[in-house]
This record gives sequence, C-alpha cells and structure tokens, in this order.
Amino acid sequence: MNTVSTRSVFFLLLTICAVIGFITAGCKPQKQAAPPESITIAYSTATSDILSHIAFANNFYLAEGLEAIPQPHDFGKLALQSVLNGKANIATVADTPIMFAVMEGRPVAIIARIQSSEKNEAIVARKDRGIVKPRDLKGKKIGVTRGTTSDFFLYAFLLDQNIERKQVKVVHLTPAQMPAALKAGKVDAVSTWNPTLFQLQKEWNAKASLFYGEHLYAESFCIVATQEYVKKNPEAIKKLLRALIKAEKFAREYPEDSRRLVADFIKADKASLDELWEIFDFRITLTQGLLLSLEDQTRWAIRHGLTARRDMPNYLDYIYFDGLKAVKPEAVRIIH
Amino acid sequence: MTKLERRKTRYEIRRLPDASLDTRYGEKGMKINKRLKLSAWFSLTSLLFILFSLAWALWTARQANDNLLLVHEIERTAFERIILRDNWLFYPEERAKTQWYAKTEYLRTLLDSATDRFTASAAKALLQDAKENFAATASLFPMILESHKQNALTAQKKLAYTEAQARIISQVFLKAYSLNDNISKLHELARKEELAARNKGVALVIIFIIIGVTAMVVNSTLISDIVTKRIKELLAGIAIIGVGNLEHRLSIKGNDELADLAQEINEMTQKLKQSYTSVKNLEKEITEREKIEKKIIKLSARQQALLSAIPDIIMEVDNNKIYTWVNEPGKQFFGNDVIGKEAAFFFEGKQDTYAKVAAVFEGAEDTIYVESWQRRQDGEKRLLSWWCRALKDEKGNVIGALSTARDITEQKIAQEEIRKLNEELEQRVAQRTAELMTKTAELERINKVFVERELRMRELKKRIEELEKISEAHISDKDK
Repeated sequence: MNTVSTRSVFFLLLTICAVIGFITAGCKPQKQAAPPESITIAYSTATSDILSHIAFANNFYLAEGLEAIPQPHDFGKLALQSVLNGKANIATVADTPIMFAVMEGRPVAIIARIQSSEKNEAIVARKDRGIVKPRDLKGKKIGVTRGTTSDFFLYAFLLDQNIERKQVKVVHLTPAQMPAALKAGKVDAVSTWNPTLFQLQKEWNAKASLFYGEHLYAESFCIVATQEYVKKNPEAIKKLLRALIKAEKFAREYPEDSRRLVADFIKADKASLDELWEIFDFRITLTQGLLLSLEDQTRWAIRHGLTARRDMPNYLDYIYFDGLKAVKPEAVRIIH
Repeated sequence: MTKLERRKTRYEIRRLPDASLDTRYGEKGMKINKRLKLSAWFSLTSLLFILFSLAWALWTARQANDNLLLVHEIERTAFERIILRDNWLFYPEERAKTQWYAKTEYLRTLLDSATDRFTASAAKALLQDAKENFAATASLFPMILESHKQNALTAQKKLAYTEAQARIISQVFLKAYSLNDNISKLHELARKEELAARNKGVALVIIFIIIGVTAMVVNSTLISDIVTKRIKELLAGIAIIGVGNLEHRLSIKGNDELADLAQEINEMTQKLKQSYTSVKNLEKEITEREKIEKKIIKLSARQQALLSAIPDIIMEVDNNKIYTWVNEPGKQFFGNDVIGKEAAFFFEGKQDTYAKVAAVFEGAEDTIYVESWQRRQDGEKRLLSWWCRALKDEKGNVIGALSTARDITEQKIAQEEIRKLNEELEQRVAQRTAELMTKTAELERINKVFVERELRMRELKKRIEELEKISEAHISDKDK
C-alpha cells in the first residue's frame, strides 16, 4: 500500500469518526431568530407559584422566545380574574378559583399543574381565645379568603372535625388583611396559605394553635388561560411550558439558588422559603388527582350553594392537553 | 530448536530439487501485501457480520420491548378502568362513565393489537381468555349504567354515606389515582432504565467494535506501509548486488521474515561470490571435459570400427531379447533390419537357446556358450556358435546381453565328415585287425607274408596321418 492509499484510509477513517460524532451529538437545526412573542403573565406572589418566579428571574421565558410581561397579584384568584377580564394572557392560580370560574361558566383552560402541596394550607388560631384543639373552633370567628383554597380547606377541616359550617362564623378576608384582623381580635382564627401562614406562625408562635389537614386537601397550583387564547396561541403555550419545565429542572438541581432568586423576585424573606421549600412539589403535570380535586370542590360548592350552577361540569373540557403533550407527553397523566 | 538450527534446517530444505522447492513456495509463498489485504478484507467481512448480528439483536430487543410496553399499557388501562368503575359507582358522574367507555374501547384495541403481535401459542391462549373476560365486563357493567339512568336517582338519594365520609372516600379515590399514577411512572422508569442500560451496552459494544476494527485497519495499513518500505530497501540492495557488486550486504532489521530474507540474500551473495571466484577453474574443467568427450568420441569411433572389422557377429539384446545393436557382420548375416527384432525370430527349428542363456539375464558373470541354428538373411540355415555375456548398468542391474557369434556350419560339417571317416577307419581297422589276426595265425605259419603285411600296415597309417593333416589344414584355411 503506497502513501497515497494510506492517506486515503486515514481520511476515510477520520470521515467515519466525524459522521459518527455528528450523528451521536445530534444535529439540531439552529433556532431561527424571531422576535419574541409578547405574553402577559398574571402571577401570584405567594409561595405557591415558585416555578413561575424562577422562570421570570432566570429569563427562561425570553430564552424560549416569549417577551413575558409580569403582572403580580397577591394571590392566584386575582391573577385568574385578570385573565378572565382580558388584562393578562396567563394566570397562575390554585384549583379552587378555577373550579368557581368553571362553575360560573367562564372559558377557562387549564394548561398544567405547576406546584402542589398538602401542607400549604392551615388554620392559625389564637390560644387566648380558647382554641387549643380543632374542636375548639366551634362557635369561633374564622377568617378565610372567599372562593379560594383557604375557603375549601376550612370546609374540609371542619367536616373532618364534625363541625358544621353554620357552627362557626366565617369572615372573608384577604391574606393581607388576616394578620391585622387576627391581632385586632376581629377573628379568632384564620384559614390561609403561605407566606401569610408562615408569617402568622412566626408572629404568634406559641400563642397560636396551628391546624394542618394533610390528608384533607392537596392544593394544586396551575397555569391557566382562556380557551380562546390557548386555541389561538398554541406555540406560545409550548414556549411557556418549556420555560416552566426549565424552571422545574432548575429548582430541582439548584434549590438554594432557586430560593435566593425567588426571594429576590417576590421580595420575600429567604428564610421562609428555606423552611417551606420541602412542603412543595414542583412538577409540571396534568394528573387525574387535579380532576378529582376539582370535582370534589365542585360538589362542595353545589352542596353549599356557593354557585348558581347545580350540575357537575366535565372538567376534561376545561383542560388543554395539547401543550403539555407536545413538550412533555409523559407528564400528561389524566385519563382522556 | 535454536534459531541457528532452524536456519540450517531451512538451508537443507533449500537444497531439495527444484520441484520440491516449487511445491514448498507454492504452499506458503503468499505475498505479504496480499496477505495483509486479505486480512483487511477479513476484518471488514467480520465487521459486517458483527453489525448484521447486532442489528438483528437490536431489532429483536426492540420487538420484545414493544411487546413489553404493550403489556404494560394493557395493565395500566385495565387498572384505570377499574378505578373509573369504582369512581362511577360512588359518584355516578357522566365524566366517569364517558372515561370508562373510552377506556373500554381502548382496552379492546390493545387486546386486538396484542393478539396480532404475540405469536406464541401460550400467549395467544391467554389473550383469548382475556378477551372473553373483557367481553363479559364490557357487556355487564353497561347494564348497571343503563339501570342507573332509568332509575334517575338524584345525588342526594344515592348517597349512602355522610358528607364527611364521602369526602374521605373522595380523597381515597384521589390517592388511588395517585398511587396508580405512581406505579405507572415506576413502571415507565424501570423500563426506561432497562432500555437505557441496554442501549448503553449496545452503544459500548458498537464503539468497541468500531475502535477494534479501526485499530485493525490502521494496524494493517501501518504494517503494509512498513513492509513496503522494507521491501523497497531490500529491492534496492538486491539491485546493487544484481549489477555485480557482490561485496554489498543488505542491512538486517528486526527478527521477522524480511530479516530472514535479507539474511538469506546475504548468504546467497556470499555463495555467489565464492562461485564467481571458481569460474576459471570451472572453465578449465569444462575444457578438459570437452577434450575427454572428444577422446571418447574418437574411441567410440575406433570401437565402432573395431567391432565392424571383427569378422564375428556381435549382437546386443535387451532383457526382452530384442536386438538393440549389431555390428556390420551381424547386419550382413541377419540383414539391416535386424534391430528391433527378437532373437527368436531368426531361430531355425525348435531349440532351447533361451533356456541356455537364461543365467546371463539373471546376472551371471560367466560367458555362456551356445550353438544355435539360425536363419541367414538369404534364408539359408546356418549354425552359429554364440558366446553370451550379461550387460549391466552402473548399479549392476542386468539391462541385456552382449553376444558374439561365428558361423560354424562348414566346420561342423567337416567335423562330421572326420567323425564319419574315423568311424569308417575304425571299422576298417577292426575289420583289418580281425583279418590280421586271422592272417597272423596264417602268417605265423607264413613268415614271409607277415613281414610284407606289416610293412603295408605302416604305409596305410602313414597315409591316414597325411589325410588328417590335409583335412586340418583345409579347415584352418577356411577359418582364416
């Protein structure tokens, strides 16, 4: 074999290696530089919406080609109202406001559940008002945020304690009003979520009783839009989901950085996030549990006359599967 | 065996005749480059076989994996269908009913798909049973569903539990779904891990194969390159020797066949040099040989002349008694076409000549004498006296016989005549003796007559002796 043929062999081998490397590495087409799509995201500043906060803080939305305009709200119900009022495209909200919206006939489309917890809701009660054990709540004034998870949690808790709703006096308060109301004695207890819950716990410490109901209710925090929006903007929904999936991965891999980023983003105490972090499950999914939870809450709403509608809606009609199916099909666990 | 001994053995082998050498090189004389190319082709062929086997294994694994996934899907669907049924039994919502129907149809599709995919008889039997059970559930549960529709029970009526209990049951359902979801995820995870591990293994195997084959090809290429380079060096050295520079020696590198070849060439060059030194001696030897050959030719011619000059017949036969050579007297006697004919062809009458000379052809050293009546070329019957001697090759094997012959027909006749005369004479002597005896008695009586008769006898004897001398002289003249 002469020198030329030897070179040819080496060249051939080099080419084969290059082809193998190319195939192994994959040859993803380069993303076309298109102008970012504008999208307004109404989000809750509560700790139930951490993935959304991370996505904003890390510019994951922009990286996916979305010019995400943040629209902060104190809690998810307000964010949902903003969407339903046409002031935002996407809302991050818990399951109870979604259920009420559906029962009111609003065209809601649930895109995914982004966070869940069984310990994000609790009742904080003043011991000096004689509330030491759950049964002591009978006859007391309890503050709740109407039409939210705190409302449903109180119902589930009282039911579990065999206390009828009429045996307590429900006072409707926003989370922001609760600390003052509790301190002023306007209410004897409040049913609420974090970070208000954490704040009250620190403030009252041993002077207050804290009642959790881990097996009574699992809060599901979701991202929703109107059905019209998801129908018209399927690509934007995919980008949104990709950004949130990035945030999910970031939260799992860099929890400390995530807490710091979220604390800075929502102007919260990082120590509270450090303490609360473990009670949250950060996963982008669509589970059958969400469906059942919505139906459970619907039955509650119907039974207690909280909505005008008296029949059970088919929540499958209010879930937008295509987005999550496209970007993370294994996360779609709802039977459909 | 040491290297030196091996080399000696090789040297001895190379002293074999040319044919042996050809055979030896014919068996093992494959070119190095050809061998290397053959090796490369062999490697490529092996690689193709490996890739083919691997592809087949991957395809089989994929099939098995697909089947496994299908089974998992059936399992999951069946479980979900049960949960949906329970869900509806407690809360007969239209949603649960719709989902149950959807799952039922899906499960039917999956079972049909499995029936098509699985080929083993045991699996087909199991699937047949499963389809029968499925058909039963698919017809029975809708009956309950329809019955509920007809009764049109209200939500309040159907509740057999308290609100609190119902909530707990609701949570149980939720947990059951979650549990099912967890199990499904666990299944998928395990499958993915198994698949990933297998793929990793396969990828590793592929990488190893690629590396191995690449190494083989590179190795072959490098070896070929090195060998070619060294052969070029050898060829250059041989070219120098070839133009007559017998002082040149090839450099010996390494310890392989090429080094051995270089060594052999050097040895051959050394021998060539020695041969070249003795060329003059060889030329002298050739000249002497030529002289000897000329002498031999001259001697041969003289021998031919001598043999031709001898009046006796000289014949040569092979072991089959076929005449292979004859001198001039022989040709004159038997004819010019005697060569190629068997001796017996010329025999006259029945004779045992072959038996008499058999000892000659058996290797006897003695000269055997035999007389034989033979036919001369003119057809006349002649008596020949033969002196036969064996002819042998350099190894002593009998290759025929050399015989001289003389025509003794007249001598034989003369002898016969003498014999007859002698007999006659003896008879006459006897007769005369008898007469003399008779007459002696008579002479005794007659002294004078006796003396005369005695004298007469002496005269007669004298006369006989003269006759004999005349006869012998006559025969001698004839012989000459």
